[in-house]
Amino acid sequence: MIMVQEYKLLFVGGMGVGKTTAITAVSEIPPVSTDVANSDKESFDKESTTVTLDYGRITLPSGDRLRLYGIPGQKRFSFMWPMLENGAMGIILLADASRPDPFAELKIFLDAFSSILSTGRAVMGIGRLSDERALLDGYNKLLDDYQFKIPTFSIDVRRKKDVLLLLDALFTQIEVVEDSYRDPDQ
Amino acid sequence: MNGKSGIRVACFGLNEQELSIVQSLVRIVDGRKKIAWSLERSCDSANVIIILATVPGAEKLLFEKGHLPQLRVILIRPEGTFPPPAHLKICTIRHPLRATELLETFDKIENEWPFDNAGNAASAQESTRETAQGVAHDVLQNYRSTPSSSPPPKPPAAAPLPPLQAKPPATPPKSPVAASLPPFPAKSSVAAPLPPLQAKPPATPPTSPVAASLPPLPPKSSAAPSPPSPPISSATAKTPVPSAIVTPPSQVKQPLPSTGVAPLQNKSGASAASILADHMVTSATPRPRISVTEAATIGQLIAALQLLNSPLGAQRFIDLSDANGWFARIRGSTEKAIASSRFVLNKAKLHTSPDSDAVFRWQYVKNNTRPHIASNDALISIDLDILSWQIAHRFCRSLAKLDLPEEKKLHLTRWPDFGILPDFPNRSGVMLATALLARRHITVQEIIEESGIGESDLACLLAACWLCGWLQQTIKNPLIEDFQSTSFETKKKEKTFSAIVRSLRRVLGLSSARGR
Repeated sequence: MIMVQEYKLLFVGGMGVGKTTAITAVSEIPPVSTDVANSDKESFDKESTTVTLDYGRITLPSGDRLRLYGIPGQKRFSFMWPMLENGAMGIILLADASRPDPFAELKIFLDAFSSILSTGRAVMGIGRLSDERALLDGYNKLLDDYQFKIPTFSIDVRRKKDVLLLLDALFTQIEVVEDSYRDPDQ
Repeated sequence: MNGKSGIRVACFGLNEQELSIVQSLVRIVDGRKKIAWSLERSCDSANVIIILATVPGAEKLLFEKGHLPQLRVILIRPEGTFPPPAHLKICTIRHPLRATELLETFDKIENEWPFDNAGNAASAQESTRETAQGVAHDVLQNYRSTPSSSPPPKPPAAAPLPPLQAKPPATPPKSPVAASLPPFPAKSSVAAPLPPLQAKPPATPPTSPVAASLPPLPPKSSAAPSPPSPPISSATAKTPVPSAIVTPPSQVKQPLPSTGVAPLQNKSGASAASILADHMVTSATPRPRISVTEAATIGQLIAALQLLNSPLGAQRFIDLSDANGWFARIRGSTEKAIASSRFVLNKAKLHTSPDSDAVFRWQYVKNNTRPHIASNDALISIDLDILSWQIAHRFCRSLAKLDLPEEKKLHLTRWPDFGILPDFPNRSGVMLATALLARRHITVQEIIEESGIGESDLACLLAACWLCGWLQQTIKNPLIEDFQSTSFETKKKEKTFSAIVRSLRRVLGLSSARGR
């Protein structure tokens, strides 16, 4: 009997950065979203938000499955983050450059997911950057401060090709990171 | 502001274009932190002296002035010129047209002001001595590690300071940059319609379209000629320097660490920057002839961007960019730039206004909320990432042309923003090469072997990253080797995801660079 392997990939970011949208772009099933009316409009003015998590899926020809999880972005659900992070193959970190203090919000996730981010198996996509290109330097500097060597791109998660770009970069990172772990004598 | 009471800058050996860059930067920093900056003609009355190392008399002046506590010296030192003595407290930059570096140096100097105030200066000087000595040490180290065929010049007689003129010269400049700029392709599709340009026509008919663009400095104010030699101060009520235009000390570049990172060099030991500098600088001193590589040609284009401090330069740049479809309208956060009627050059974008008169970097300030643009008709912007990529793609398709040393290792300090780059073939291969460069210190040959990337794609990637300032060359460093071998030892058990990554690529239609 062939054992089906399951892997998980996390979409991480604050409320409204587009985690649900990104999962929708690549999932083979309509994502299971648990969106409800937003009761925290003070933090972010959005009609609905994810209160637990988003779930999407990609099935491989071998039967193996990649589960796509969008974490709940509100900090009060942070107790769930370590559980989701455990065993994840990689992280797609999403940020919104139009926030009043975009770096402060990002730091929360950099701290919370530092164990996997520090391995390099991650990529960051920054949305709504078109008006503030200089912010890209700020994001890169912040990652340097944390010593996270991960690619950073300006993206629009509503475009599937941008989400695929993030996945492509993440896969490349995973390959290179794992190659660097390989014993040179092998 | 009273130019006599603040920081007074004098230049030694700079040509007219270089002087105008300095003049523009002085105007930017003047009054920004309630310290007046002005440009002086005489080194005797200045307390900051910018010395071009390649002109006769530079070394002598450096030795005369470099040790004075009430003075700061900025040495413009192309590769191969004499190294500054380590005991002198000086700053060095590679080329006067590197406006952002010069601006950062001004920032450093401004932080040390007042130089001769015993109480204040004591701590300031103490805090900067280490940095200055570090710079001098590293410069010296770089010089020693870079073989040069040209011996240090003998101390010659003092050369006269070139006159500071606001008027254009009678004849077009004979800059090698202008002479060798390649022709550009016919106009292609442009993302957004260009705003009307108001560049003034040249005073004399240009001999060639390219030469015409690399500007004789037009008068700042067309109404009246400038007086012969006034100290130049920018504290004019008409064009106040925006408060947002600052370079925080945290952004100031640190001297190269002594852990093995060195400037990019070619096989003969000359850095790409020095090739570029040698090709661009107009100096009375004959230089050893260095073959012009494609990298230098790219550098000329960047130099052309940096010569945008005149309406004519802007016109030429806009023409070039228009022809190449590099434009996109901006939509935010440059209200102050409009108010100042200047160019805004930052790492990400070049904002231009047709009546601009300066080139400078706009640094994002955290508390600067998004200003509403009153009028964006006159502004055009371009992403420098895209520009660098386009230039590299067009002019740098061969590793041989880049003249990279085979045995040296390269390292990428950050990834290009693939999110804004146009689609190109073999993106996976380019990304794999980028990941290798970003994660390791690696030779060109190793990149080709491990990523399967084509030579032309790799040349384009390296050139573009070099233009953006993200590519470093590392010398062999046992510490790095030790670290990498330790990483192999300690983490080899973690390899678990490569197989699923290959399957995922196939399912999602993403090509694999390795074809495994």
